[in-house]
Amino acid sequence: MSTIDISAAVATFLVEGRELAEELERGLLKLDEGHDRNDPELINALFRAAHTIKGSAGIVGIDSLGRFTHRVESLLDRVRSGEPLLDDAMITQLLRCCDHINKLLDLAAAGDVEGRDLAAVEGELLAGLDRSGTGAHSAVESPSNSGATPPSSGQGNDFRLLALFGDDCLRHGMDPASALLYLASLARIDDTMVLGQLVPALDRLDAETCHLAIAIRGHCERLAVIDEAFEFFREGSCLLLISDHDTPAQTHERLQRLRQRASDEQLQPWRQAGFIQDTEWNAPQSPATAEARPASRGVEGTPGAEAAAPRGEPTSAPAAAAAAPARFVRVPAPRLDELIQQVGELVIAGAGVDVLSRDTRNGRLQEAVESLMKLIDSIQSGALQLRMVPIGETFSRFQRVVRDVSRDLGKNIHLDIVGGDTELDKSMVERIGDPLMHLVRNAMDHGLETPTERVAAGKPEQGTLRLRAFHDSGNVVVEVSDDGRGLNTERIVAKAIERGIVSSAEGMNDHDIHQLIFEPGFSTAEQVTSLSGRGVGMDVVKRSIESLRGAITLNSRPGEGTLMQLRLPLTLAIIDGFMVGVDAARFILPLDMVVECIELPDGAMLPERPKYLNLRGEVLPYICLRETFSIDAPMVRRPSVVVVRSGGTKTGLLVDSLHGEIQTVIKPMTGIFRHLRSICGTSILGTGDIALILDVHQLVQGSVERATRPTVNVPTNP
Amino acid sequence: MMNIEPSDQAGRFVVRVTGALTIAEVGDARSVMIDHLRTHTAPHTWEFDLGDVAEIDSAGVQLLLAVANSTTEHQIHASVVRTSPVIDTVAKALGLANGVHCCGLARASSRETCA
Repeated sequence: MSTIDISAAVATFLVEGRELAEELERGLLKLDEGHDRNDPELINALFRAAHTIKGSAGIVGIDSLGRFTHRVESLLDRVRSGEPLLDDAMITQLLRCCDHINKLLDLAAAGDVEGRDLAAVEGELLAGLDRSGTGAHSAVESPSNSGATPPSSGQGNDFRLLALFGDDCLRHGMDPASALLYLASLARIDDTMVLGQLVPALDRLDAETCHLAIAIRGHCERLAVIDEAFEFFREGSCLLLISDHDTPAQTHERLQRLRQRASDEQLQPWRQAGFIQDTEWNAPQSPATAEARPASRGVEGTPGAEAAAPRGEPTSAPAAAAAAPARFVRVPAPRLDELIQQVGELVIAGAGVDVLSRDTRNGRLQEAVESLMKLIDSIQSGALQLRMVPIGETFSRFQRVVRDVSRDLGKNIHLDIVGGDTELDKSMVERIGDPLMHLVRNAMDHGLETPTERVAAGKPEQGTLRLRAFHDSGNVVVEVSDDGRGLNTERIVAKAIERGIVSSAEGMNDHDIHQLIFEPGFSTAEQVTSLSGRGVGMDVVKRSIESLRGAITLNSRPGEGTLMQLRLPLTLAIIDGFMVGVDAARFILPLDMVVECIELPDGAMLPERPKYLNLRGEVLPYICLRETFSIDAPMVRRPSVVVVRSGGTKTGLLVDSLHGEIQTVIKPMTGIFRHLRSICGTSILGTGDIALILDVHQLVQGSVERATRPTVNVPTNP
Repeated sequence: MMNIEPSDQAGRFVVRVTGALTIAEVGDARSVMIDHLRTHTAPHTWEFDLGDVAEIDSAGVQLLLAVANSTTEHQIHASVVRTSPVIDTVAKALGLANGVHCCGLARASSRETCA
């Protein structure tokens, strides 16, 4: 007897299981936030998530999870049958069940598929589910329970399902008979027919290969139940759902896929038995009847598309997107990193070839190299996109945190997510989770007031915590803001003095005082609450962001709220840059940050203000790269100014020469150089020379800090 | 665990299947049945006693359909003399059970049922 190695399937499921648990949680949070608790689309989505977790867990042998999720699924099945079970307490209970599902997945990942250590918690959770009534766990098995009473007439849909199952479905544990029995508990089945002649005689039979073709005719309230019953058969199977909404011409078109899998002769019994009508079998008489419908609509794989959107019913775009079969390939992240690394090398090598080809002055060679460079450019763009993920998933995780914490604190807080589709590098997304969590908890704990306090302050009872992301000048900006009480400068000063960070606030404006919260030692384990602090202060958050070569800024107004802005690089291995030179040294600036390049006009230097230029009447601060990097060479006669935008300000960079746009591979700074703030990497040029890639924001910030340090560092002054 | 017990009874070749007939057993069951087809070319009447099949899935049903097709090819008259409740449930769900047939095999009339 052959054995099947399911370790790969288990690994895949552990990832998918978490995604499904997240989906479940997101849906529950939506209901918790006031979404219609009778919305069939959402309730069905929740049910499907639980159903898939249960089914997949059973297939890969994670019994604990299959057993537990079955109870959750059963409860959701009752909900979608119309039982009013989803009160606030039940949603909370179901959210706890999501947590438990994640814990069971953790245990399964560690090899424990029984989950006995969590039995006590599980019992408590299940008791909570059963509070909704008895027998919540028997809905699926017992046809006498919810959904089991088949509709007799009137409302609903007559349907036919023609199914040619995939060769491997039996091997993969998918049993058409089980699916059919399950469907029979949800819909009325009038007739079923197996094409027995498709099964070979014993001597030609591979007994584990599925040769079954089944036609079903019946009636159901919702076509979606058919999708649910057969959802595990999508791969390799050809399932054609025909509802009474479909015209013969449409069915004819979709039948072609079926007729490619089985001969007309083999399908004749279905015709004779009326599972396929003659008008559907034969080509439409008039072209007008052959209304345009995408040929792929639900023919292959799943009847989900039909189930979700019968003809004539409006379908929302998200619903259509959810119903469309998405195809993904999971690739281990290190493979992507390696690919991007290699693409980086390819770009460098390409640039080298480009330089050499220009030296030869051979037109045909240059033309060929140009084509090659275009291809490299295209590969580069594609490779970089592979690792980009929207930040929305990270943001969404805070919904649960905000819900739970606001309840614990007795606060009414609404989480507003803006720009969730902003993309940034996956590794970056993973690393900003903790700093963001700290900022979110801080805002809820210290920033936002209780409802009573808010009303007393003339504000709406509900506070708003906003997570926002957007691209700006080649960076990603992530903001955490609230409309709470704002920072209390007096308390900050008092605490800073108490901690010995400053001796007095003399000469410090509000902005300077606010910056003190980022000073090491400002927050301590003694004074932070269990929510926002675990002995981790804002200095650690700042260091975390800076270790990502990002920056954090703070803006707060008393009584109006606080805005924390994280400015992060995309951290991609390759960027579009602009190359400048100082003597023989080459520097590369991110192209997005370059506003303009000009030759330094006569009289632009302001003798009375040594760090500023007069640029067409505008006073522009500038940084002389020659001085910053201590390049010992005489200044050229006509230096150039590259105007860059960092954050909301413009700064000029004084350089000797301009070399134009360049696609640059970032080689990260390692070892002793990794802490250099103004340089975020190096690049090897086509000539073999090395160019330093400037972190413009840090460069500007460093310059500002140097200029303002004597004012801020009060205690150092006698 | 599946067991197939063949016996010759008064000119009839009786195949009694017990235990499970699922994806885990169908490979072995197929081999056994092919051996019987090869060795029992006569008599030309086979009877299947499926009354003690404790478990069956689609793979088991498919095997029975293959048996039905094979016996037809070999011009053997095959029938089912007894079915278990689990077979009845699954075969009925698949539309393969009625008063005359079960999983592609003719049902023997009560008079023909083996002792």
